[in-house]
Amino acid sequence: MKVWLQRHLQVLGETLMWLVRSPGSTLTTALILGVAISLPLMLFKVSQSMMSVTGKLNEDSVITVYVGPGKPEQVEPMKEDQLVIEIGQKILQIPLVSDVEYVSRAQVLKDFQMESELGDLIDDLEENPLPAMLIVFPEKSLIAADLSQLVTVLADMEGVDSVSYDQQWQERLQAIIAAFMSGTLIMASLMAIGVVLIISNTVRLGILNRSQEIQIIDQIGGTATFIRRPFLYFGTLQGISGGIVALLIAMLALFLLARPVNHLAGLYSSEFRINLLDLEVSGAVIVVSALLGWLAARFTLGGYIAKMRASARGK
Amino acid sequence: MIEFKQVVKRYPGGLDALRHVSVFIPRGSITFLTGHSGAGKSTVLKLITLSEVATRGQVLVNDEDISLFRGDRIALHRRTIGSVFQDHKLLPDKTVEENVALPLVVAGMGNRDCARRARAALDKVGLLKLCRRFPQTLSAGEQQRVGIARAVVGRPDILLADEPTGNLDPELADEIMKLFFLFNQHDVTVIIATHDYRHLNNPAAGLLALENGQISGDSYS
Ligand SMILES: Nc1ncnc2c1ncn2[C@@H]1O[C@H](COP(=O)(O)OP(=O)(O)O)[C@@H](O)[C@H]1O
Ligand SMILES: [Mg+2]
Repeated sequence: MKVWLQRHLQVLGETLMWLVRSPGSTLTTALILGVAISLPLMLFKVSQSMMSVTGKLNEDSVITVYVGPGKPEQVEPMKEDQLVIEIGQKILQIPLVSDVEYVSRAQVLKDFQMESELGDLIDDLEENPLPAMLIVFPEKSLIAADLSQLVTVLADMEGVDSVSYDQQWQERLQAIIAAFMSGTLIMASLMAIGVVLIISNTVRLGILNRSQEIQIIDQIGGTATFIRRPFLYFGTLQGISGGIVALLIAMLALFLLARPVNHLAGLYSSEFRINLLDLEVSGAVIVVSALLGWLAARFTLGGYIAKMRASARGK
Repeated sequence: MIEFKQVVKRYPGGLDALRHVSVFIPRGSITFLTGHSGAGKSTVLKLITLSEVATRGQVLVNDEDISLFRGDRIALHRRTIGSVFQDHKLLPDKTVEENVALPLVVAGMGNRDCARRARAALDKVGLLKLCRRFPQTLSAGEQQRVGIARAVVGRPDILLADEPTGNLDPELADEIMKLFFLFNQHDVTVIIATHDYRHLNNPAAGLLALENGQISGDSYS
């Protein structure tokens, strides 16, 4: 175990020296990888920030449920209000709903008279024509899709006349975010392929430069694991260097973007903030880049060693 | 012991480097493998280290058919063999001591033991004072002795040398040969491929002669 650790640290040190000894190609590779990784990373950060906007929007959105059709001449006003309260209690049972507020017909009429110039007109009517209302407060975490589903459920409920909800621009925003997210996914996949190809290529060059060493080690009894080890470190370290450069690029870009975007959001009186990279995302970027580097080295070397072994068998 | 049973080796391109070779080399022996250039000497050694695999027939080492070995079993098999090459095959960016220690590092030995045994091996070939130097600063004879130290550092059962004196002048060649006889006295099975006829009349050594991929002389049969 101690020998194993000693050996790994030694290979790590040697591989770092190997990278440091050719600073030009090491830096160039890190920059190319960094640019490739930073693109999906920035897209992801922007989509993530947009999601936090929708979260905020839901706080203000309520669904108004009108109960009816009222046939006031057949139902006593007291009884009708009772009916509306029952519906309100049913609505409160729905998991997506956080609260329900009951507004009686009388209250609706009062509000209407106070807010509208048509108030006097209604005074002339014998009966109050306005239906009672339920104001439904959805859970704050709901996204637009859940909201429209909730609206459909409410509209289909017995005793409900109509449902009103301002959802258009919510849905639009949601669609834009979905597009951004698929864009991020596509970019990330392309990035992953690019990173694997780039690192695979540098590993191939490394194999060519060290083919004599590989052959000697193979000859004196080095296992495939032993032969692979420095190259796996090489690929992994290159992946990490690319990840670090990508984080620097993304942080700079987001820093430059933050002011104009927040200003723009302010114009829409919205709380849209592009936050710089948090620890979780940064960690994930480094881990993923390291993993891609390792994979690239593993496959490139696997192919090389298999070829070397097969040629001994005359294949 | 090493045994070849009706071994055929055909390289890609169709040429048969070995044609139905059957030999038996006893444990602890020292053997000269001789023949003109292209006779198949190197091929015999490569089949023993599994650098090449027999096209037909069997190569047995300690009664095991080594052509059945795969993956890490091949690596383990090679650790029981020390190889010396005409061109030394030393790594230019490692010191003499690091080169000699390489088989031990590969076998997973700790740094301190590696260094100690590498120095002991260098001492045996008379080069301990050069252990911090790099191979390209050494003479051809010294490089070859470093190669020998590397071959024996892992205390192999078998020591194979492919034209180890090919590039050396006669006095140096004699010195190198003496080293092989020395290691043979420590119960190591030694096979030396050479077309240097000056060494062949040593009565302590067995002789295998190859001609066009076939055995033309065998002191063991
Ligand atoms: N890798 C190879 N591919 C094709 N032919 C080879 C290869 N290695 C050796 N040969 C051929 O096999 C024959 C025997 O070669 P070798 O064993 O190296 O002979 P020696 O070591 O006695 O000079 C030669 O004709 C040589 O050209
Ligand atoms: Mg030869």
